[in-house]
Amino acid sequence: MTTAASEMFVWRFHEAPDERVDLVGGKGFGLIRMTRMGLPVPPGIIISTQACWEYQKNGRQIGNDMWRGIVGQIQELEKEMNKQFGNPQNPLLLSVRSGAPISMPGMMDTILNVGMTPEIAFALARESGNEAFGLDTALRFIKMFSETVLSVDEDCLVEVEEMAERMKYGSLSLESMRKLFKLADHIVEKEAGTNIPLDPYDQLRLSVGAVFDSWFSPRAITYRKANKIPEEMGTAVVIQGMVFGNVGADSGTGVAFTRNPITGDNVIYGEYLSGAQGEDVVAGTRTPEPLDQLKESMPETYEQLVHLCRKLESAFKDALDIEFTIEKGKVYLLQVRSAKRTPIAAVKIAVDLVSEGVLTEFEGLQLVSPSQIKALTTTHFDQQEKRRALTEGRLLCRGNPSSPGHVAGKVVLNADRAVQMAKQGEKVILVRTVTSPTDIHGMIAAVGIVTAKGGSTSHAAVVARALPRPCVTGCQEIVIDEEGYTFAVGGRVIREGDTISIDGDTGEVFAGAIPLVRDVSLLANEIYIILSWADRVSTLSVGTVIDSLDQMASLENYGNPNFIVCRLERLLVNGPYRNLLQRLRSDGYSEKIEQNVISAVSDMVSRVVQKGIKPNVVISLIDLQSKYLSGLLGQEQRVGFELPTTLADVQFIRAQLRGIDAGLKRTGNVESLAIALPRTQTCGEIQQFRDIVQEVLGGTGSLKFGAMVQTPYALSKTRHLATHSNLIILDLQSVFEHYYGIPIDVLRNEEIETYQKLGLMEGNLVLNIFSDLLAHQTVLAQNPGGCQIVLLNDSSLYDEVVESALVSGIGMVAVQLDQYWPVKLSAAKAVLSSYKSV
Amino acid sequence: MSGVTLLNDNDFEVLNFVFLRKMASLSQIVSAVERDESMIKAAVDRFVHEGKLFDSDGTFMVTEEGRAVVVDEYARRYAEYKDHPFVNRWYKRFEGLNERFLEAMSSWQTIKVGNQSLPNDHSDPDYDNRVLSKVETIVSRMIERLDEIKKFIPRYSHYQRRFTAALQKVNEGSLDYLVSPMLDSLHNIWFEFHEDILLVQGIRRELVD
Repeated sequence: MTTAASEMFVWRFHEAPDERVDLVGGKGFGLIRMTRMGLPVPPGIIISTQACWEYQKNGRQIGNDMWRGIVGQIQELEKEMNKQFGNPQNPLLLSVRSGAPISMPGMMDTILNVGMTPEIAFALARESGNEAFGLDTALRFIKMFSETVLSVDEDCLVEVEEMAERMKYGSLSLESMRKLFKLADHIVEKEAGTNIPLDPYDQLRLSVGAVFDSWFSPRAITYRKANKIPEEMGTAVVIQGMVFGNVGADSGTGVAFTRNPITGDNVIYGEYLSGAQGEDVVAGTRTPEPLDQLKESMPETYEQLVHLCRKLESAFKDALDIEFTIEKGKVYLLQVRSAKRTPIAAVKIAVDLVSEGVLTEFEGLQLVSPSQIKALTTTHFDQQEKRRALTEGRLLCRGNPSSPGHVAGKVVLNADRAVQMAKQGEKVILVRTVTSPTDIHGMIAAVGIVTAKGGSTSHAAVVARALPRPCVTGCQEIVIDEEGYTFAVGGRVIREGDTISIDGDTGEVFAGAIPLVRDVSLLANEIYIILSWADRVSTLSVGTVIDSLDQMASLENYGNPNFIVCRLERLLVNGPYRNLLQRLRSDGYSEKIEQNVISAVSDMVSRVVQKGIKPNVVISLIDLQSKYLSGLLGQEQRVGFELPTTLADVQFIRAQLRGIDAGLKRTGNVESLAIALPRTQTCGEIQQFRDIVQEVLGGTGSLKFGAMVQTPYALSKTRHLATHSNLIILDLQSVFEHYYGIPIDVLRNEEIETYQKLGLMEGNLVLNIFSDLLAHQTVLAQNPGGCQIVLLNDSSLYDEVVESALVSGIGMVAVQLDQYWPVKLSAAKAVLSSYKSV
Repeated sequence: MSGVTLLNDNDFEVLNFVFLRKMASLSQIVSAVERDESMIKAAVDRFVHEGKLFDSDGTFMVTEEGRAVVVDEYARRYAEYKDHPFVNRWYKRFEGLNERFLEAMSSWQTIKVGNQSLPNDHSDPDYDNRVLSKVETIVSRMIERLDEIKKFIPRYSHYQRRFTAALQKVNEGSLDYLVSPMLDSLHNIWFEFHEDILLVQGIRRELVD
C-alpha cells in the first residue's frame, strides 16, 4: 500500500467526504457537517471505517502506512491549532472517540487529554496559575486511559485520586506530578500487566487501537449478530483537539439547551462553570451556575451562544442540547444532540418551531411521539385539592422523588399483608424502612411505595421504576412500628389502613386521599394544534371506545372524536345495572325482565346518543359471554348447553332494540346511529338481524346495522358479511386470541420480541392475521356497497394496529380513550413515513 | 420449637434460596441451587412437612419458623467472617461496585433533563448503548470478584452462573433481563446477592441502603 492510499483513510474535518456516514461514522458526520457550516467546532481528524478493516487484516495492529497517515494529519492539526503535541510549552491535547455508522453497545467511550505527561501537567498548572487545573487534567487522562484503554477497574485508582486530592493542598512540583504518574503506572502494572506510556504518540496509538478493538468486543459482536449489522461496517475514530475552559476567568464550560427542556419555553437554558473543563459539569463535581450568570459576567460571549443556538436550531430543525467550552472568550461546540425534553416541552417546542417558521407542520409532527402525547393524558392529582391538602397541613413529609406518578392508597407496612389486601381489591401503598428482595411481591401488589431510608438509586427505587409504581424514598422522618401497625411522622401517627397520597414527581407524602383527575387543559390548545396537523396528513378516521358514562363525560376533553363505539354490556355493568346483568348471566333472558332490559338500555342509549353531540355512535348489543364481563362478574354460572351465537334468543334481541328505540325517542336524535350484532358468524345471521331491526325500529333510512366480527372464521367471511351490512366491526382482541391462542397484550412482552428477533414468529402479528385470512380480498379497501369497516382495538398496542389498518385499507379505528391522541399521531406519522419511503 | 436446627449445605441452600426469593417454584429452586435434583426435592418435601416451607399450589414460601432457621444458619455458618479481614475488605469493595451498579440501573431507567429526571424512553441509542456497556463492565467485574470469595462461600458460584445467564440474555437483546422484577434479571440477582452478603456480614440493611 502506498502512502497516498493510506492518507485516504485519514481526513481533517473540513476535507472529509460529507454524505458518507458509512466512512466517517455518526459522530464524524455531525462534526463534518458543523465544520462546513462554519460553526466553531474544535478542529480534528477522522480515521475512516475502512481503516478498521485494515487494522483487522493487519493482525490488530496499526500498520506503518496508516500510522504515517495519522501522524501527518496530527502535524497539520498542530499548525491549525498553533499548538504542539507533546510540547510542555504549548501543548496540544486530544480527545479520542469511537464513531461507528450505527450506535451500538460495547464501543469505546471517550478518552480526554491524550498526549498528557507529567511535564505537560505541571506546565499547565503553572502557566494557568491554576494548580487544580493541571492536576484535574492529568488525573482525568490517567483515569480514562487506564479504564478505557487498559481495562483497569476504576475502583483500583482510588489511591491515585486521593493522592491528587492531597496534592491540591501542598505546593505542586514537577517531582510530585511525576510521582502521581508513577503511582498510577504501578497500579496499572499490577492490575493489567502493562504501563501507561509517557510518549504522547504511544498514547495516541494505543487509544486508536482501543477504538478499533472495541468494534471486535464480544458485546459489539453479539449486538451486531442480533441486529443483523454487517461485521465489515467497521468503526471510525474521531480525534479532536482539546479546548480548555480552565485557563482563566474568561474561560469555562457548560451545557445549554436551545429551549427550556422542562417547560419548552423559547429561552436558552443551561448551566455554566467558569474556569472548568467539560467533564466537571457532566460529572457534577462542582456546582454550576445558571446560564443567566454568563449573561451578566460575559454578555458578548452570551450573545455568541444565543446566536449559535438559533443557527443550530434552523439547521438541525430541532431543539438541541449543546456542550460548549469557552476558551478565552470564544465559544466552542463540543457536542450537539437532539435535546431530551419533558412531554410538555415536546409539545410546546413543536408548536413554537412551526409557528416561528423554522419547521413545516409535517416536520413539527416528527418532534412529538405518541408516547409523549400519551404521557400528557395520564391521571394526576387535582391541583386544587393538592393545594388544599397543603393548606390543611396534611403534608406528612418530603422524601426523594424516585419514580414518577401520583397515587392514593391504604397504608400497609408489610409485604405479605400488602399482597393479601390487594387480592381483596384494595389499593395499597407499601411503607417500609428499607426494602429487601423479600418485599418485591408486595411492591408488585402495591399501587405506590414509600421508604424511610435510601435514595433515588436504591434497590426500592429501581424496582419501583421497573414496575412502574410511584415511589418516594428516603422519608427520614418516618419511624415505623411494625408490631404496632403504625408509623410516626412529624408528631403524627398513621395507622395501617389509613389512606395516604404520594407524589412521585415531587417526593411529597400526604395524609388522606387527594383525588386524581385526567386534566390536560394546561396544554390542550397546543395538543389540538398538533392533532390538526395530524388530521391533515392522516387517512385514518380514529374513534374511541366508550365503556362507561364517566368516559362519555370526559369525551369533550379529547376534542370529540369522529365516532364512538359503545358495547352495551360494558355500559350497563359499569353503570347502575350490574345486578341486571348478573341475573341475565345466571338465569338467561325471560319475558319477566323485558321491561327491565328495555328501560336499562333506553337509559344508556339516551345518555350516549346526545342531541347536538357530533360523533357517530355505534352500539353493539349485549354480549353476555364477553370476557370483559367474566373479568368483572366471574365466570358464567349457567349450566347446560347453549348456542354461543347471539341470535339464539330473538326475544332478548327485540327487547334491546325496543330499549334503543325508546332511548332514541327520548333524545330525538337518530341521525348517526349504527347497531351491531355481537359474535356474528354468517350472512344468514346478519340478514335475520336486519329484519328484526327493521321490524322493531322501522325502516328509518339513516339507521345503520352491522356485524361484530370476533372469530377468525367470521373474519375470513368479511367479504360476504359486508355485502349485507352497513358496518363491520373487527374486534381485534378477540380475533387475535382465537387465531394465535395467546392474548394480544402478550405482544408487549419482551419474550415475544425476542422470539420475533430469533425469527420464530415473524412480522407484525396483527397484520399477518389480515393477510392470512383476507388474502387477495381487496374487500377492506373497496368498501363494497358502502359498508364501513372499523378496527376495534382494546389492547395497548397501537403502532402495529395503525400499520395493519393502513396496509389493509381499513379506514376506521376505534381505541380506548387514553389512546385516542397517540393513535391519531401514530397514524399521521405512519402516513408521513410511507411518503418518505416511496 | 426453639433449639438449634442444624442444616447441611444442601438443605441450607434450598431454604435460603426460597427465603431470599420469597416465592419460588420447584423448577426455579432446582435451576438455581447447584445440587442434585433428588436431594433438592427431598429437602423441599421435608421442609414442607416440618412447617419451614409453605406450599401454595406449587409455589413455595418460607414460614416464620423457616425464616428463623435461615437467620440462625447465617449466624452459625458465617460467624467467622464477620470480622474476617479478607471477607470484610471484599465486602467493602462490593459496596463501591454496588453503588455503581445501582447508578447504572437508574441511568437505564431515567434520563436527566436539566435538573429533572425523566423516564428513559429509549429513543437515544447512543445513551442506551453507553449505559449497556457500563452495565456489562460492572457485572463482568462482579462475576470476576465472586471468584475471590468463593473460596470462603462456595455456594456463591450460583450467583456467577445466574449473572452470566442474565447478561447473555441482555446481550442478545432481551433488555427485560436488566431490571424486570418478574424475571431472574440482573437487578433481581444483585438484590438477592446483596441481601445474602449483608446476612453473611451480619449487617442490617437499614444501615447501608
